[in-house]
Amino acid sequence: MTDTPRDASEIADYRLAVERHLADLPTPIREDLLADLETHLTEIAAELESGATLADRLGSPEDYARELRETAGVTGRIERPRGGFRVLADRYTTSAGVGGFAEFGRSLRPGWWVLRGVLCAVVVFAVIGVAFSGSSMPLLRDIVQFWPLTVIAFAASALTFVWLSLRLGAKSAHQGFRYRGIVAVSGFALAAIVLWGAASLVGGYWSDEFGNDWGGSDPFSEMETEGYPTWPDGMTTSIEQTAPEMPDDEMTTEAEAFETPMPEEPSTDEQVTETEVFETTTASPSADEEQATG
Amino acid sequence: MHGTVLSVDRSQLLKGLLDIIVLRVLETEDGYGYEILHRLRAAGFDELGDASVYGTLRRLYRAGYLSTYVQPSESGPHRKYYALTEPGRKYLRQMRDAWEDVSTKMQALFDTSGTAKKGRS
Repeated sequence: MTDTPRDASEIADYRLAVERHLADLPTPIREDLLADLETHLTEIAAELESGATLADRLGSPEDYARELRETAGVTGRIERPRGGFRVLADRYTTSAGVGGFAEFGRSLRPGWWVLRGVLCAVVVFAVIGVAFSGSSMPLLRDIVQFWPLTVIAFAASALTFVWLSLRLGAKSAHQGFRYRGIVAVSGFALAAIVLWGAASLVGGYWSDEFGNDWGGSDPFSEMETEGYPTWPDGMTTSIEQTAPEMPDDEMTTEAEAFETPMPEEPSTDEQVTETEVFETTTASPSADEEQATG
Repeated sequence: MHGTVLSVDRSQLLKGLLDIIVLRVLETEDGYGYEILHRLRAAGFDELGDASVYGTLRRLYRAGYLSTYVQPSESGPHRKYYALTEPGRKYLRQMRDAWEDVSTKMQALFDTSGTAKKGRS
């Protein structure tokens, strides 16, 4: 009775429908869940009263598939294998008492948003400061070098940038993958620029103090070569020799991403290449970067 | 399984007990899927859907609590029998202790609220 054509096609149809509703699962898991299904359906069909269907007895294939995956513990769309790194990272953060690695990362976000705003203000002030301390206009130079004004202006701009950064962070949670990727990459570039600027200052101090010529590169070398008054001549030459081309690109990228004012307009030629650089760096942001900031 | 609200609620309640129920009916004798379902029906667990039982079997197997072996049957296809492993027996013992603890406390809880209700009305 089980091998009559009607039963066979009904069983095959039901099995296929269940399989369709498990289509998003990885193949080994899906096959494992379906392994016993045909045998079971055959046994059920054998004891069905005439006129009754498999769906009468078992519910719809969709319900069957849902119940199967729920109880089998594969409710997630795709069960991601947890790599060794994630396990180690989880163990690391959990042992410190701050929860799992992903949870800890999420808790760091607002702090990073504040830091990002402050870093923006630092970069803007460094650019303005370098651009105008060497200005030939005495009034402008005096304004920039009048420190209480600088402190107030920095506080105001830091508050503004922090607010903007917080807003960006809150907003990007609802944005797409690409948007968040661009924000993440821009954030990393910003942090890299500040780190690199700070490292250059320290390096400059060292070579100034001890006469070493290594590590004298500075993000704003181009502007300084036009005549930064306090730096010795030999220093400036060493900067020119060691300064890589990369910083200029990065700085413009940053300025475009955060709409900070640029001291000098780049020529059209440069702009084209810089946009290209920006496109390629953000075309495929990795999932890690996205998680870290977005 | 798609019955009244009452039976839906019962099936939700039973979902948390699926492991202990399935392990228990396999404790004394190995069985294959369809046969396990019959044992459950005989024990009065009509609400448990076929899919729930099969899903639970696969999960317990993956967790190492069950092992399987295939045996030919006189009528029809080969059957996959499930048997408890040693970790499975240990897990069942622990689950049983937990259940008895919860059960006792639930009983006490119902007894006290029953008295309170009587006192109020």
